[in-house]
Amino acid sequence: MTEQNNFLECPVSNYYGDVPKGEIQAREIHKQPTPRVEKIRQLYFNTQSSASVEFPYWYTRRWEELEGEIPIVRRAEALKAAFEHSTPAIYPGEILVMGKAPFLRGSYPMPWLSEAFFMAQEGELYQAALDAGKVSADQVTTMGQGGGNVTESVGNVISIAGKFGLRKEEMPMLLDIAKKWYNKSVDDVGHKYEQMVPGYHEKEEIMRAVICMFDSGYTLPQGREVMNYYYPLQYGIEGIKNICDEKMKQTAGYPDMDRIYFYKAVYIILEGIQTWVKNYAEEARFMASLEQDASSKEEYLDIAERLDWLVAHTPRNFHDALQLVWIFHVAVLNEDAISGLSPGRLGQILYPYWKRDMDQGLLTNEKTLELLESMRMKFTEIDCFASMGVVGGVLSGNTFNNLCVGGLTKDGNSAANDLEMLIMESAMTCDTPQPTLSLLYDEKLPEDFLMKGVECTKIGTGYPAWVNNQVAMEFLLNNFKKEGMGLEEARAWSIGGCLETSAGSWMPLVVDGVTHYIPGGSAPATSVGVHFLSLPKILEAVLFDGLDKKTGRRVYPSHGLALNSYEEVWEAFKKYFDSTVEVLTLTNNIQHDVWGRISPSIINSMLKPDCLDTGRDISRKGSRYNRTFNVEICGGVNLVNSLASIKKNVFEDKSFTLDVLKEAIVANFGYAPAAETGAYSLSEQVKDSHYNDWLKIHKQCLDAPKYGNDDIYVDSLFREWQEYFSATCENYISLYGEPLYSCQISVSTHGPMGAVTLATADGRLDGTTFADGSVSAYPGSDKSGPYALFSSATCYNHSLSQNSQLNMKIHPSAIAGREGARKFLEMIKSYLRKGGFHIQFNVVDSRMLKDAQAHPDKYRGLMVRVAGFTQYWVELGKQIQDEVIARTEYSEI
Amino acid sequence: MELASQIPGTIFDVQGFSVHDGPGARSLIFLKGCTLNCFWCSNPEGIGIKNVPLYYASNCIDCGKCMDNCPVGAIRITREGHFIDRSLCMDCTDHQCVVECYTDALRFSGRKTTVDELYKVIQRDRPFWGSGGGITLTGGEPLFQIDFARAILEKCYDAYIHTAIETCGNVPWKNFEKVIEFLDWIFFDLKQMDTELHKGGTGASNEVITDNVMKLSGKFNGRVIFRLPLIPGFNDSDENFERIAALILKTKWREINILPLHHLGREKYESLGREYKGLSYPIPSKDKLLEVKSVFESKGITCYIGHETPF
Repeated sequence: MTEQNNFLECPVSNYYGDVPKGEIQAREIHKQPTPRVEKIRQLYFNTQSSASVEFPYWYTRRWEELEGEIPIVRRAEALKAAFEHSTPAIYPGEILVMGKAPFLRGSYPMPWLSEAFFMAQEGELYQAALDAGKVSADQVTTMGQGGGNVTESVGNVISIAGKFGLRKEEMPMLLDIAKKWYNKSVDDVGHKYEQMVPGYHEKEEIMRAVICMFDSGYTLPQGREVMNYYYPLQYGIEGIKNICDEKMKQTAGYPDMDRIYFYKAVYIILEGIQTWVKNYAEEARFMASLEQDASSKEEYLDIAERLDWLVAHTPRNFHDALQLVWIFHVAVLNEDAISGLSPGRLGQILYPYWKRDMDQGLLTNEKTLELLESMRMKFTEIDCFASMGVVGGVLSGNTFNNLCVGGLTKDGNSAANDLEMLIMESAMTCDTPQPTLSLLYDEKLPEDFLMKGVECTKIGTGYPAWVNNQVAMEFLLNNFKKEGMGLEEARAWSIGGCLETSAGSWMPLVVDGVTHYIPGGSAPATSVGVHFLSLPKILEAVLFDGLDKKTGRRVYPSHGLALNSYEEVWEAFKKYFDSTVEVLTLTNNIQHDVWGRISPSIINSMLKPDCLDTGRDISRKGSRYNRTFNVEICGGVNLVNSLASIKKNVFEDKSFTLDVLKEAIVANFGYAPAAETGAYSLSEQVKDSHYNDWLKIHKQCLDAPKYGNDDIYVDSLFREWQEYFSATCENYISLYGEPLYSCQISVSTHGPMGAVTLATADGRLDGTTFADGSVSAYPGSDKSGPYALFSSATCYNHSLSQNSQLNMKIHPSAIAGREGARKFLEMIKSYLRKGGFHIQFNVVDSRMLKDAQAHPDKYRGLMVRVAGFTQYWVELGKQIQDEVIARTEYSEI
Repeated sequence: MELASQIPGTIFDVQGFSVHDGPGARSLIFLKGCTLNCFWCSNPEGIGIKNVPLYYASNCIDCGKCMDNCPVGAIRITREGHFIDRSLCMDCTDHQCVVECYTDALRFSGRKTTVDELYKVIQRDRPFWGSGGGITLTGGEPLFQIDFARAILEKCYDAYIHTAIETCGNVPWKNFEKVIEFLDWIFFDLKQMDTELHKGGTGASNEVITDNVMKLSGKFNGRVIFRLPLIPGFNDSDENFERIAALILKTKWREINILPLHHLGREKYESLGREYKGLSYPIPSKDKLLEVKSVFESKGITCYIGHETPF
């Protein structure tokens, strides 16, 4: 007999303060885009994610022709051919143009990275991948069923990776290309060499048990980084080609010959980009020739004129500069599988152009807003093609183009400016997921700027995320100490990806003879290395002596400990954790080395200081800062809550033995597994007939001290874990010869990783989602209010890690009105002053989310903050939807 | 005499990020015990000073552990449900029934604390209020446990924390005298000016209350905001508004905050096994609230409705 839990009966309550009653409360502020952009937005809403084979076809064809060529030059030629053959498409109403592929939401597979996952699922290659434990993450991921996701094949459209639609007639070509990369892709070649690592067998078992979610070398080798638009803005495309010419003359024939191949590769690719831009200009002229409406015709011709100019020259005005920035943003996205390619502090980069145009009366606030909204649509249209596990399980379909506002200037003053005020305004009028905003909070920022940030947060889309400038600078100065980062450079940082603190540099942009120091990224991708370790699953292995109890397979060698004390449990955990990091560091280093050889980054390298100076690409340490490999974790709060429960219940109070706890865990405390019920939050689980047998133990587990309540018992364990984690990462050395460091973002992995983990000692049930972020409490367990949660969250020094993440859900009524806004800012400031690195909010009535789950059609535009990013509700997987609903809602008090 | 820091008190909640009970973001401290017994009270568990079991039927699985552990046999479980004969457990202090309940169906209505312990929580919260925040003592009647209240307020005031109370006013004047020097702000309830009606709705006469208002006006230099819980059918007559306004105009303060009746306390009454008379009174209409506002404003008294306050 099973019985359905109703909401009141659940062991956790998701409210702090009054449980809202009466009508569902809508978000307080709602604005509309300009008519031009609203049309584009509606077009977007009605567009499905679409894949194209055009780019990989031309890439592969040219690649094959150049057998024997120097690899980086061969790749540059292949990319050049692909860019030159990319069909241009301009959509009605656009004033910023160009995209990854001809479709509005277009992208394409990159078989040179990995060809296995889009091969026919019953094919031999797929089975081989399965055997190597690579597909496990895909198998446990649920993809959002709505919005632009193509989850099932329809008519002549085939669904691939659970998200993208591909025209049926292109499928044979895709398979044909894929076969050409068999045994040659980064994935396959890397796999061949990673097996040389001692303990490789353990790595396969770790991947199969989903203790680690992904290899980073061939899934998303770039991203989680900040773009640098300095060179195109300062020199123009032709100008950079001239630099390459000069450099080739200086280096040809001298030792360190890799440099000339790099410069040659950059030169070739820039030629490809020039043709690509020209093709768009041609398309604009063609569109103009068809257009009847005089003003639209004028716009097309204007686009053509602008693109023609930018083929060779530097920007003349704000509109030019924005278009040029976008050209290079897309160019980099087309070069590699990338998520989290962030524009950085764009409002500061473009300010000199904007200010001049405004001063000269060439631009108005209204026109600026229209351009910024158009830019938002372009960023929102970006799709990232990867496997279902990556796109759904990690990214929730998001591409993390993080735009930062605020922070400090090179000389340490507030960097906030009026263009950034308009950027925030455009994020309210055109509330699409991208670019997501982060506000780099510093005490020096002006109050009206901060209030604008609050106003934007209150619209409920989850941005800006509030991040702590000083904590980030502390982290950077420590992390890049050896590479010589100074105070001024530390101020040039921004967020790359969803929450990765990324190193930047100040570059001297000359506009009208005046030098402006603009910030931009100067390090390769962060968040490569050891990606998403499921801490509760490692603890599970400790309790079951190295086994994945779900499958019965052995993951780790037996630790052979009797586990007679808490200390033994903790020591065994550290042992397994360390061995996991060790083997994954080595195998990922190999994959990334192979990536750098087969598929090196050329455009991105060219943009990043100081690759053009050194003549080395980013995979060969060409950039200024290179300590970028990290270890990412997931489920830290569940780990610590479980340790607290074991320590207290088993070893101190002796309420039950460890063996009994293990039985309870296997019995899932008398509940049906989440996979059977399809509900992934603790509050909606279904009891089975043995519920009463385990009730007392489950209650004791739930009642054990929980993180988020300012309880020193568990907070001290949390702190011990944090300090251990950051210290132990330093013991492992990346491909670039630098120590690894700790990074704490769960993105969406807390869903799928929770799905394969048994019940945990903190009372969480089998298959349910872990706590999100890194310092968010487990939903419903933070019973002592926001201030207690803030205290717990700041019990350790956040600058030990690249980030920390606190997600809160606030009912709109709690921060309503002008006074509500002021108090909200005080609350945000207080957390950051206490040393918190990041806080973000969902300002939403949970009942609205439940309604949206039931009636997705009514909520096409509803967005929520997940963990470091904002996404359309209907495009989220159910695991994540359930978790967001379950989060404690801070309502009116 | 015991040390001020060790003075015990009984509270039933501390809530952070309270944004409607004083300036800024505040920590709200709920003290148990009240001298009135208003039929609409939204915190009925705070009326009695004693710690009693609250019973939430929706969490109960009828395991019977509470019944087995009650030394006086006050709990009966029948086909019709779960009954607590509260007259039998008036003197109980350890409440094994609550301790043994695994499902949180039985909970305590309050908890013992000390000035020191509570002050630790206040210190923890303080950095998070931001500018303009502080503490507000509410309840219950915050001046009922007067020694405890005084010690807390004094400690906070000395530490430059903004202090407020939300009082029903029905306490001896000497209680006010003990705390006013440590107070920045008072929310003072005025419910019904007719003595007999007041007695009917709250269980006590209003003479002490009106008397305290006038004394306060002479002695207290902080800000006072009067509060009128608006219960249609009980205190929404024009005459009542006129008389309240007249009293306010005799003081040096000119602000009133109307708190419209709501029915959110229903579950709490059920958990106490008490009848909720407030349920039979309607929630005031928006028009009515605007009407009340105009009555007060026409007399020069600034009137705020519900949470729409400028602080």
